[in-house]
Amino acid sequence: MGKFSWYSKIPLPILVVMYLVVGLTVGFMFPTNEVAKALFTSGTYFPKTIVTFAALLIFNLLAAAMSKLLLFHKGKAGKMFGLIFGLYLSMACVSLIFATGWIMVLTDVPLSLPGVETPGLAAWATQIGHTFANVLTQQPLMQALAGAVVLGWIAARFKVLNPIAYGFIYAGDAILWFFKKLLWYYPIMIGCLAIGIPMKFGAKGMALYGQGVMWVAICTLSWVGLMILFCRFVTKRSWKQIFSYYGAVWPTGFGTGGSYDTLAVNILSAEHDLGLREDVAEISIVFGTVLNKNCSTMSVLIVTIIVAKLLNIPISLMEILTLIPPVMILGLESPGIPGGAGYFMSPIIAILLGVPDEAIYVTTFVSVFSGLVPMFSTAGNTTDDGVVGAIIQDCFGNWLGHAPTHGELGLAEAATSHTTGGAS
Amino acid sequence: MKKVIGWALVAAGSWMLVAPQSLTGLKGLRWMAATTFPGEVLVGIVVLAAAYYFLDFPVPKMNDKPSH
Repeated sequence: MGKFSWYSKIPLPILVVMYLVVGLTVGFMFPTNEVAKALFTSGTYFPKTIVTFAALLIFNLLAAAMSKLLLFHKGKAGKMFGLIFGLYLSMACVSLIFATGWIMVLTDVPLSLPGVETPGLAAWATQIGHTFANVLTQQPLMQALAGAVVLGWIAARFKVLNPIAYGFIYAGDAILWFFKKLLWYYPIMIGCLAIGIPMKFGAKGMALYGQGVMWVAICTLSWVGLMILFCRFVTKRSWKQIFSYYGAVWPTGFGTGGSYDTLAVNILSAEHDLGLREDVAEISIVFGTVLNKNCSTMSVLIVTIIVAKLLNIPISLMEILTLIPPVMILGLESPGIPGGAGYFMSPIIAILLGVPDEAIYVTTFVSVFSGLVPMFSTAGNTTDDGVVGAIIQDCFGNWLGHAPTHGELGLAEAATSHTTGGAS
Repeated sequence: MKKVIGWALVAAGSWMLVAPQSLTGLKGLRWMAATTFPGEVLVGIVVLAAAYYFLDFPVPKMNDKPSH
């Protein structure tokens, strides 16, 4: 074991990128090699298993998230609960509209599919409603999604039903425990799946993957830029505070590729660099870690376009808009594992897009939603949490009865001399 | 006895959630879809909730905050 101790010290995101590069290279150089084909096939079994068990997994994870939210965080956040929940939900919605805007700019996706008349706003909304109603009555995954939200809420809301909520939480934790035990396999699986991109789609596949990463980078980085400006001009934070915070948390989120791994640095930096009060920093960031996956959901929309192009699935802005509400809801489930958004959102997306083969869609989606994509997403998700904390402290401080004092702000300025120093 | 009923219901509810979806995914498990009925997932959700009620788990600890 000692011989391989250096391997276990390599951070997971770096391992994923390494295996991804090796997989893409192998697939590109040996597209007809039988061993390479076998390796690719071995990588598809895990995502296919996820597709088979998706309804059970998504139901338990989302019901657990809903139950935790009401049972634990509502008590912890007290008066702030509705405000924080509303802010994160609004941010999720705005960021998905923002991503849709970027999709219109960056891609050649049409407003509607050829032969389909572009509907007006009301007709568009009606069409989305019909799609949902249709999918909800026919698709087990959507029923599990809706059932999880409703039952998770009911079980946590009524005391007599709380044992059910506890069951959801234990089941959700058990699922995440199982996935975390398999984290060592995640880079290997990504490497195997990556072989399939050039093997099945040739140079076009490689180019589309690169394009996807670039689009995710453009979309998430421009969002981060906007959030920095928003934080500066809407809250009382100084440029120094904001850049100290982003300088510590963004690289940590990018490097770890997981918001739970960034939690400690995020809270410390929000207090010391951004100058948030301890209670505001802890509540907003713990909440954000659980609830906020807005940059991941933006990346999901972009990867959806890339996978549709790879598999020649017709897609238009109409379909993208249809995806926004379920992707927003799925963002709440917060699997907290690298690439988790790809695993648990792609089966739902496959159904809503009406793809002919869900398993192939999910397999391709998981392989594209890897490497740099979750790293950019996590960096954006985590830094957004601090901005929400700053909004709460500076814009709603009076309402909450804790207006920041000059002393607190001065202390915060002084504290910017401290740095949290990365992921240690 | 409550535990036995609880775990039996977990098995039944889980089956009802997996079976209708099993037509997609792993080919080796597609046989599970042979006995599905309309609304099976919704019934499965209720059965699973009942199972957790019977199992009567203790209050879980919230452990998502780092010690610092």
